[in-house]
Amino acid sequence: MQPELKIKIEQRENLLNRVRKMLISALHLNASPEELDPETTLFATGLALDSVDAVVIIVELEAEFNISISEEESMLALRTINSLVDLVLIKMKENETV
Amino acid sequence: MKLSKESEIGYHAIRSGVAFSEDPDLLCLQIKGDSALDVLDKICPCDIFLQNGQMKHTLLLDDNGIPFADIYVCMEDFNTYILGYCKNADTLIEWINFRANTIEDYAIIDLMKTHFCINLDGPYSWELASEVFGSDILSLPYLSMLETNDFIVFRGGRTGEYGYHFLVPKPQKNSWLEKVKSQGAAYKIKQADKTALSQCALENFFFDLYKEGSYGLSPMELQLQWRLSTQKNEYPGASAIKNIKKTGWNQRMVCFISPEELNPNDKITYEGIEIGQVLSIGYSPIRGDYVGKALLIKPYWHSGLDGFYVNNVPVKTISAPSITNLSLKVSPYRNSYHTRKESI
Repeated sequence: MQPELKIKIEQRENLLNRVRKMLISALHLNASPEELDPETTLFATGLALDSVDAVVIIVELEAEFNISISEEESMLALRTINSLVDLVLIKMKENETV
Repeated sequence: MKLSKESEIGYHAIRSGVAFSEDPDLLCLQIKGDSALDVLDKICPCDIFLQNGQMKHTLLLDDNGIPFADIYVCMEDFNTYILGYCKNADTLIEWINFRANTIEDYAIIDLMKTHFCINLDGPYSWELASEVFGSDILSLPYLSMLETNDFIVFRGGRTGEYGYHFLVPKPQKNSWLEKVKSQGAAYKIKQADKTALSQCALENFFFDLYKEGSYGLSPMELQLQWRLSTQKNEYPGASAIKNIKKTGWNQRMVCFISPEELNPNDKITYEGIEIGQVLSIGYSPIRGDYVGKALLIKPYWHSGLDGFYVNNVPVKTISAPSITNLSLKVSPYRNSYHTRKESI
């Protein structure tokens, strides 16, 4: 495997696991990290979260990853666990370039 | 394959306005009697904590833990319902009766023998639905149902947009359809065929029993663990699921995009090594490329990766859903189809 892909996969796995653990801890989910598939939707179906949970997720993500998330960004990111990871990756890259 | 002109018209109506469709594949069973909830509890892998009018998305599994039905379970006034997709209703009824053989005081009614399903999908389907079927529709949250003297409505859908399944008595089918079409004219309503609905489901990563569901994959491989309870131990397929969780799984279905047309079963490679296969694929008119579902082995099973090929075509994994649904920006409290250009 090319080193570039290896790094990408390791980074993605690492962030995915951190986001899963954050969700379990912040929302008191009765599940293990492996039981939260990356494409699990957050609202209605999937984890069936509500608007209060949405605020909790954003606050926890900002604290865990030292990032700042706007309302518009959160609307697009609060769809699946994977979309949260995508947002964290973008924000971390932004922080690196600043 | 790109959508036919007819399918594309229906597709755009789903994505930007309202589309109606007839759904001959949808099945709806009503389970009546004092033990109706016990029956659901016995056969479903999810927890059956249903409030009145609530729907819950789950699966039915065979003894190997493989899904053979993609269903909602619902409850209204102590009647329970199974709404969804399975090979056929008679086989499902037989399976339920076999599994619930120790339970008495229940009866299963196949509602599709007496009813017909009309679907309304689209970011403004709520508005037309409330005009045709009554304003109570507006107060229906996602995953809830309502039974009236004239129809039963389930708010679900598989397009990522607002979606409603209306079950109307067969003798009234044509009058309801005419009403939908005539009042829908103000919404430029179009009919969506199976291909259009299937493409929308694919773009939003909804499970398709007839596509990826035909590969004999487990809920873990399909990323459908959320349809199963993490606490429940007794249901058909439970021991197989427990075993898979214990031993782990090495492949997972992911969303991907391709600039060119590919086919189901095409092999996906990285540096010449096979890492998976295409399960389903379709052209996305909104994106302008092909969206698909692929089964990839660990550790290539993540989104956001590229460098993968199908023959010489580069493919890239992405997070689902592959599009941003207009329904996310449309609110029944603030918006209207008739003022959409000013308000969205």
